[in-house]
Formats: sequence, C-alpha cells, structure tokens
Amino acid sequence: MTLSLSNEVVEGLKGLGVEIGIELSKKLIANAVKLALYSDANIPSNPEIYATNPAFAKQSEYAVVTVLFLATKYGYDSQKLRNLLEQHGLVAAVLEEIVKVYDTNKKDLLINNLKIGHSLPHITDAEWRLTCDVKSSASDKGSGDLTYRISLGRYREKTGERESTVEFVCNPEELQSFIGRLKEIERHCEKISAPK
Amino acid sequence: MDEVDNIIIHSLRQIGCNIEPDILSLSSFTPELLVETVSMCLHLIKPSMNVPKKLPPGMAQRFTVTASLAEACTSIGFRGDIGYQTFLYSNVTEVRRVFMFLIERLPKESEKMVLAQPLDKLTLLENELQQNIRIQLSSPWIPQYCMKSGIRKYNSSYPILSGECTPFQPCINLNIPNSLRKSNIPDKQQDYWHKRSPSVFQQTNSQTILSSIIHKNDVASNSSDFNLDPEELMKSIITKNLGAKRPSSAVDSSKKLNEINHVDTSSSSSSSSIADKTKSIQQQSSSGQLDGNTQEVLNSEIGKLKSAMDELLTSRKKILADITSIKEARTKQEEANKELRNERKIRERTCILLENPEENVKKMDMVLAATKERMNKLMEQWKSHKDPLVKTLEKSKSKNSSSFEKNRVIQNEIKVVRDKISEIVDDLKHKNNLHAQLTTELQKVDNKISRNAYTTRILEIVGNIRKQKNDIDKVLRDTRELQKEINNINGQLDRQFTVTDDLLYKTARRDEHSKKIYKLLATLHSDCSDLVTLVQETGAVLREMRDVEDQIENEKSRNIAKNLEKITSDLKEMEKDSKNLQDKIRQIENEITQG
Repeated sequence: MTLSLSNEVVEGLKGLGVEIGIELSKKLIANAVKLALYSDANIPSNPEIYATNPAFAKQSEYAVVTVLFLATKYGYDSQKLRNLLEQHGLVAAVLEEIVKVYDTNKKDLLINNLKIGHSLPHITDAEWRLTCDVKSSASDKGSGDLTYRISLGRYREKTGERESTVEFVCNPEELQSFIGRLKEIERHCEKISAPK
Repeated sequence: MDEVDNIIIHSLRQIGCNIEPDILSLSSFTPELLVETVSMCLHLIKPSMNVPKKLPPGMAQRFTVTASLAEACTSIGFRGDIGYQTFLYSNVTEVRRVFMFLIERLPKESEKMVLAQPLDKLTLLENELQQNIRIQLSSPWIPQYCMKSGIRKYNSSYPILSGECTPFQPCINLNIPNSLRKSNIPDKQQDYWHKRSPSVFQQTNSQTILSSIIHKNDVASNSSDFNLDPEELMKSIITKNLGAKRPSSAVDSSKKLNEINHVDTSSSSSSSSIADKTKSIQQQSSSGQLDGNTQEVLNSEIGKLKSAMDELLTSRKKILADITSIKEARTKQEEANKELRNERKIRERTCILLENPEENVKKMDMVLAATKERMNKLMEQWKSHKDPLVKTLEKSKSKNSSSFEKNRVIQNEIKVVRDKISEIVDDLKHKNNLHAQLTTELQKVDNKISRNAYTTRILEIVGNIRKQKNDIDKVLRDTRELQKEINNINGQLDRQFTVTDDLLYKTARRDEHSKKIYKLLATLHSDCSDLVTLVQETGAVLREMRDVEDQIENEKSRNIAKNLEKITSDLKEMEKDSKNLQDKIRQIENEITQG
C-alpha cells in the first residue's frame, strides 16, 4: 500500500503560497500542527489565518494535517515526504516548512498515531485480599478454606482513578500455579532477550 | 597448577599471542612476553584503552610501561596486589592470578559470532525485538501513573504504550470546503464555506481527529461515495487492491471478452430475429397465459430454432474462413498487378525512345548537359553554404572536444573505480565466507580437544577436593571429640582433687601422716599442672615452627635471591644512566659557560 492523497488534499497543499501569502501559509501550518497535536490544550485562536480566504484556509488546514498524519502512518522519513510533496509540485518555501514541521514534531505525531486502535487493556496494578469462609447460606459451618481475592487493573489516564479489569478468586494452590505460569512468561522473556 | 598454566597458555594462544611452543608453564615467562600478553588481553577487553604493547630496553621506560600496565589492570577491576614488580620481577602465583582474572574478562566467542552473522530482514527484526526486550527488562520499573499518557521512552527513540488506546471511530461526515473548484459549486454553498462552515478542528476532538482524517482521505482517494461505512470502505479498497495486483490477467480477459462481443455483434444481425422470437416466447410463457400443449409446441419450436441457429453459426464460420482466404488471394493479386504496371511503364518509355533514335539521343544529350550544369550550380551553392557551416562546426567541435575528453577521462576513471569496487566487494564477500567457515571449524576443533580434556580434569580435581574436604571434616570431628574428652577429664580431675583435698584437710589436723599426704598431694597437683602447661607450650611452639617453615618455603618460591640480583643489576644500570646523563649535563653547562 502506498500513500495516496485525495484531490482535495493536493489542491489544499498546492494553493499554499499561491492562494494565500507564504508568511500566512507558514503560520497556518504551525497553527494546524498545534491544533492537531494538542487540541485539548488552550490554544489561542488565530483569526488572521481566516481573514483573506477562509474557505481555502479551512481546506489547506485539513490538507496539512492529513499529509502529516499519513506520512507518520506510512513511516515516511523527511526525505520521502519531500519526494512526495515535490511530485505534487508544491511551492518550495511551503514544502520546506512542512518538512521542517514534520521533522520537529515527528515523535509526537508517532505517539498520536500509536494511540489510535483497538487493544486489550494493559494491566499495571494488582490488588489482593485474603478471605476465609466463616458461614455460608448453604451451611452453618464454613469450610475454613483460605482464598485469595485478586483484582488486576489499571489507573485511568485522565482521572487517575483505579479501574478493575478482572477480578478472580483462587486458593493458595491455584495461586502457586498462577505465579508459576507468570514466572514461565518471565523466563521466556529472558530467554528471548539473551543473545544467541 | 600445571593444568591451570596449560589452560592459561592455551587461551593466550587462542587470542593470538605469540608464545613459543617450548614454553609450558608461567614460570618460564620472560618480562617481555608478560608485557606483550597482558597488553594483548587488555586491548581485547577494552579496545578503547591505550596500553603499551612492548617492553622497551631502557630501565626507566621499563618502569613507566609496567606501572601503566598495572594501573590499567586495576582500572578494569583487578583487586589483587599489582605493580611494576609483578611484571619486572615476576612471581608465578601473582602472575597466575593476574592471567586468571584477565582471561575471565575476555569477551566471549558468542559475542564475536553475532557480529559475523549475515544480516537479513528477519534476523534484523529479531535483533531489534531482542534489544527492545533487553532494554525493557533492564530498565527500572515506573508506576503507570508516573507516565504521561501511558508512554515511556527508552533510550532509543521507541516509545512503548501501556495507556488507553482510543478506538478508530472516525466522524464520517467531515465537511471540508473544496474552494478551488468554483465552477461546479453553487454560490450558496461557497457562501456557507466562507462564512459559516467549521474548520476540521471544530468538527473533531483529540480522540477522533486522526481517525477522521485518515478515513476521509482514504474515502476521497479511493471512491466517490463519501458516506460509506468504514467496513464497507475497507472491503472496496481491498477488492480494488486485489484487482490491481493482477492487471495482466484482467486485461487479457477483457480483451477476450471484447473479441467475443465483436464476433457476436456480427452474427447478431442474423440471430436477432431468433432472439426476438425466443424473448417474446419466454415473456408469453412467463405470463402464464398459455396452457401445457402450446408450451410443448413452443418448446419444440425453440429447439428447432436453436438447431437452426447453430447451423447458421457454423455456416457463418465457414463463410468467414472463406472471406479471409479470398482476402489473402486478393492482396497477392494486387501486388502482382503493381509489379506488372511498373514493368509496363518502363517498356512504354523504351518503345517511345526507340521510335526516333537519333533525335532522342540528341535530346537525351541536351538533357544530360543541362542536368550537369544544374548539378554544378547546385554543387557551388552547396559549397558556399557548406563552408561557413563546416567552419562553425569545427569551431564548436574544438570547443566541445576538450570538455568531451575531460568527461571521457572522468567516465573511464569512474568505470575503473566501479570495477575495482565490485571486485573488492566480491573479494570481501569471499573472504567473509572463508572467515566464517574457518571460525566455525576452529571452534569445533578447539572445543573437541580442549574442553573435554579440561572438563574431565576439572571433574577429577573437584572429586579430589571433595575427598580432601571429607578427610578434613573427619579430622575436625576427631579433634572436637578429643577436646570434649579432655574437658571431661579435666572436670573430673578438678572435682576429684577438691574432694580429696577436703578429705585430707579434715584429717590432716589430727594425723601427721595425713599432713604429709596432703602436702604431697599439693605438690603433685602443681607439678602435674606445670607438665600440662609445658605440653601445651610445646604444641604452640611446634605450630609456630610449622608456620615459620611455610613462610620460608613461600619466600624460597619467590626466588628472592635472583630477584635481588636482578634488582641490584637494574639499579646499577640506572645509576650508570643517571651518571651518563649528569656528565652530559655538565658538558653542556661547560659549553654554555665557555661559549
């Protein structure tokens, strides 16, 4: 699969430096990247960008963000991105600006791209409690067996509160075998990482 | 200790030290050889370290070189006593300790082999995975809430996510102005885009912007339907890509289809009537207006028509074949006609000429002369045009020739260099292969010989040590038992003595004999205790003697006499050197004062 840009994007990029001035184009590019990467932060609005040709400014904002996100998606380095933009015949100063912005924000763009997708929850925390049956609804005497009540979970990013992913109960023997299994994973990890 | 020396010398030979075959133990190592081998080991352990490789002849330089080697050894972690004396006035046990430490620290063979392996994509990926896991295992643990949005950057630029993933849920109705295509767009929409339409960032949030943008671009560049579901869009993209992957077969099949259609259209005129009929019949039958009998009749009619159609198709094929053969015959005939016409023209002209030969000859001469004149004129004209052009051409050629030559020379050089490069690359590959082969062979050979022998030897030594340990344990147990017995007897003796002492003391007041007995008992007791202390002292003295003997042996093994001789000779040399230097200084001073 190769990177293909839609006509809207290509037109939005080509117009930079033509439909609006080069300085304004540079401002637009910088603003678009900021808004795309840190949209939750309070970024002051920049009415100057939309003053001369608002419709085109909106289109090229979309175009710039698209090019940057797609280049990150396809793992382009700056040289490859430059080739792509040169193929579409962008204004040289605009091209340089886009490549520069891509280079400086590459890591954040990559992180942003990595955060999109479907995945099982990561478990980063384990809580446990020792419990013992004293009396149940079925019999007046408890079995007296010890059980471990274990909850594996993680902390929510924004609120910081704990979220339990899985809760289970096991007796000491089952716990031993569970720990054995986990140790197996650890050994395997070490085996893989050891040089052959 | 011979085994240890053998192992040390063997491994020193393996790393490429030049040790002569008649050297069998560390005691026969000369200071020069010592310095060479130690510096080789140090170089292998830490290639960045700058250590002297040979022992110089001058005494003072020798001292500085050996001192720097000793310092290098301590810098890589050697904890024993080491200094210039270890190298210059060597003692076998010290040297052995140094070599054992250095050989343990030598880089392992496996580490070297990893570098020699050829690198393809899979191994590169595996190596990368290995390295990442190693980095992750070796780095300290950080609680999740200490990582910003679950991301952790390790020392390579590889972030590892343990945070939440936002699902890929694009806003499929992203409205982006398409302002540059003004002709197709109504004014109202343009007005909306200019004044009211929200920007991309207003239509999305941080969670959806990326997925929305990727989705929008894929939709716009792959299909015209903007409101497709992501799943359907994926399907359409996949089918498109699959189709694009086998274009040759698709083109072939479409060509064939076209050909078939072409043939059909030519035959359709004849069969169209039949088709119409069948259609009408089918329509009628489908409407269900006809009963069974008429259906049978119609079926038989269809059969007949089909057979008639088949016949017509076969006759058409025959006719087409005839047409092609006739066309071929016609083209042949036309070619023959052309040839015949040309012949006829030539013959007609010759006939005209032959009618009035003399006149015609004259005319021909005239024509010839005229053409010659014209020819000359044209030649002159050609020359007048040609000369200046030729001159300019020569000029430009002379201009270009120098640069052309330069270019040619450079091109030739480039060719030569490229050939050389390819040759060198081939040579390198060949040599690399050879190197890998040889190293594997070497490993096999070395492992077979040395390891087996050494492991058996080590096992024997371990067995011996175990036996000795058992013996020592036995002796210790015996001594402990003896000690216990002695203690018991001492206790008994003391008790016995006190009892008898009491008894005799009581009776001694009354009886003279018992007084004597009491005195004798006291002297006996003191004498015995003296004897015991004497025995203990002799034991201590014996132990001391043994210690001293050991010390003497140790000192003997250090061959102090030889070393002293060496040191005194070195000292004399140093004194000589310093005297010479002082003389020189004096001479120079005299020269200066005289001058």
